[in-house]
Amino acid sequence: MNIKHSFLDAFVAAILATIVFGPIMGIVLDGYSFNLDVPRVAIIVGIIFVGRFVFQLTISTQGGRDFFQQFEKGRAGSIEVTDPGIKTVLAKAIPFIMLAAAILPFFIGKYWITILILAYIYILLGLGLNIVVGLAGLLDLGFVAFYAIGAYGLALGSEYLGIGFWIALPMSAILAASFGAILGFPVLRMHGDYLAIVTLGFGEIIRLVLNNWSAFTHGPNGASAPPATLFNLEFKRTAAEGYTPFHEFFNIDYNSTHRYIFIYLLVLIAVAFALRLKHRLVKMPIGRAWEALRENEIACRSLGMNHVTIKLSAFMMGAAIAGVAGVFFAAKDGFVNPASFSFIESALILAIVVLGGLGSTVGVVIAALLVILIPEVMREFSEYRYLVFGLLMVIMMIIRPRGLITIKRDRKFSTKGEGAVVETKQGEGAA
Amino acid sequence: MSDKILEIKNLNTFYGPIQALRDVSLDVEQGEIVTLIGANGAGKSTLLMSIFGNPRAASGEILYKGTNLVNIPTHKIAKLGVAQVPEGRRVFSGMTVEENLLMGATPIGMSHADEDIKRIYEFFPRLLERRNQRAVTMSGGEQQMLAIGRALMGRPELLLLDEPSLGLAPIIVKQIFTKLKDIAAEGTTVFLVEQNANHALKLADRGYVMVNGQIRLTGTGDELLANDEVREAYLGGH
Ligand SMILES: Nc1ncnc2c1ncn2[C@@H]1O[C@H](COP(=O)(O)OP(=O)(O)OP(=O)(O)O)[C@@H](O)[C@H]1O
Ligand SMILES: [Mg+2]
Repeated sequence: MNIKHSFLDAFVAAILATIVFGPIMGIVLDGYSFNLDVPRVAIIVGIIFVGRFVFQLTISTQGGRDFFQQFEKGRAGSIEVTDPGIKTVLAKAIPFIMLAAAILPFFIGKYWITILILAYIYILLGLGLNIVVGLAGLLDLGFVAFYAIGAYGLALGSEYLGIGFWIALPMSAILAASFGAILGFPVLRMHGDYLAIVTLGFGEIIRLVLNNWSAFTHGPNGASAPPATLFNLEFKRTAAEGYTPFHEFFNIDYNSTHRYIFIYLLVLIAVAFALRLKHRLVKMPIGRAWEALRENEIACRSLGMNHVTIKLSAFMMGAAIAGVAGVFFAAKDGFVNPASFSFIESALILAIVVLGGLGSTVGVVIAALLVILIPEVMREFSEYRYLVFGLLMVIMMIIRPRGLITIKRDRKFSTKGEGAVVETKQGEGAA
Repeated sequence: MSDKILEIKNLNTFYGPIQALRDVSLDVEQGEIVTLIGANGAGKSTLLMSIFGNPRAASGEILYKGTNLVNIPTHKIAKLGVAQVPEGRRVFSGMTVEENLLMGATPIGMSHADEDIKRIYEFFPRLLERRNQRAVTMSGGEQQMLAIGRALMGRPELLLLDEPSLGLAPIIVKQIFTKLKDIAAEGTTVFLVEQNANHALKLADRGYVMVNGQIRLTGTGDELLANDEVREAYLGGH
């Protein structure tokens, strides 16, 4: 232990904290004048001083160093390569997890069902954006636009074309994918920052159009969306023409929870489907092409890959999934309005993808659950919850900079490569 | 005339207002090893990249087996049988060795991928040992072998290499160059861009010297090795 050094270090940290926090926290505006709030600054500086001191003391001991080294390993270490034959524990557990998730809504109240539906919708969104950002490496800050297109696809589709939930589902996916292509074309030549700015603009344009084109979208007042139906059974007390209420058909009492359980189960199926899709895609040539393009566009093109189709397909695939998520969102609330599709949503989805570990499916699932459930659990903290949430994110990025789950690579390549096994002995001999 | 696999005529390439290649003309015959040497910034990489249309030539012709490549999109050129080992290797760092090789099969499709991978593992046994290792964790020499292996996966008739010796120890350079000789012996034409003039000229049948975007000299490898100007500028005056 090196107390003197730790003390000095903590002292410097405290001075820095005073400089940074002093003006921000210490000066409180009061009308046109201001008051000084010294205790507030003192508390923060005190916390930082003590924290830094303890931290320094800890890492000056061997045990403390080992403890922090653990996290460093995650940072420096490369992607792990797993053995092909071994089915991971996770793979075995998936059917059970799905089953548990499927019976869960029958035991929890409506409140938690709706929150879980939202969490699952964000899993879908996270998986969609994961294709664009995580796999293809295209930073898209306007992803919420496709979500909005899906949601409004159901609402306006039913209003103007009379389509229901089940038609809207594929139609919104196609519509969102088309918009993905429209966005994709102009941004094909862009990279990094420029791409981010243009997609950000696109997201805002869609929201502003929805907000201001009142004649078509009803503007800020929003539009109502039809609920999901089971064949021609509606989950309402009294059904619309041509439909039967679900409870009458089964001769049970009306319970508004049924409707949410139904949507819950549908979203769960959609999530399972999206997980499966992602799992297959990464092993298919297109998935590999996305990855290759992310790593090195020039090499890809010289290898005969058409970067236009590869990028467009990533945009379109991601957008289609977001479109589907949007339909579920609209069907859940029975109502959509532009306020649900602000930039903060795009940021949240991106946070899910980054938090989960770029490219990792399991990470996205866990991150989406955390991102939606934590603010819900922390309702008591009311306005501070986003602060706490932000803090958690920062801490996360420090201790696990590669995301919750670092992606692993299958050891052996998918089907095609498998035949290419040459005896190792031969290799050694020649070397 | 007909056995020229690559024929470049009066090629001019620009980066914005800057002219990087001036009236470059050269040719490579089927089965040859031809090298292009020159100092930093001479335009060697620009020439190789121009063959792949990136940057696109402003004027002139690039005839590959009689087809003019100048207006063909980059991603279609590999399908014609030209492969490139780019400067700085540019392997897909996050992918394993085997995945990198598979990516190399893109121009011809996956139907021969298995046997070709086997062939490349025989050719570079080191890659077999490392087949499940991520490319980024490999040494420079191994990455160079991988980049060459990846290019060979497309079964090219013409292999373009940009400074394969870059940053490698002399012994590894020697190994790589021996492999290039083997590749040529198996019938693939090799066009090699190098700064390492000594090695390159010893290996090559013929060579070109580029200065400031223009071809300054040409001759057989031995002729250039003996040339005073070449010795002065590229071989350290020995
Ligand atoms: N993308 C670019 N934009 C503008 N100028 C470029 C670009 N790439 C290369 N140049 C310029 O073109 C000229 C030729 O560059 P090139 O990379 O072809 O040289 P080189 O002979 O390959 O050099 P080295 O041996 O260092 O690789 C240089 O003056 C360089 O600055
Ligand atoms: Mg170069």
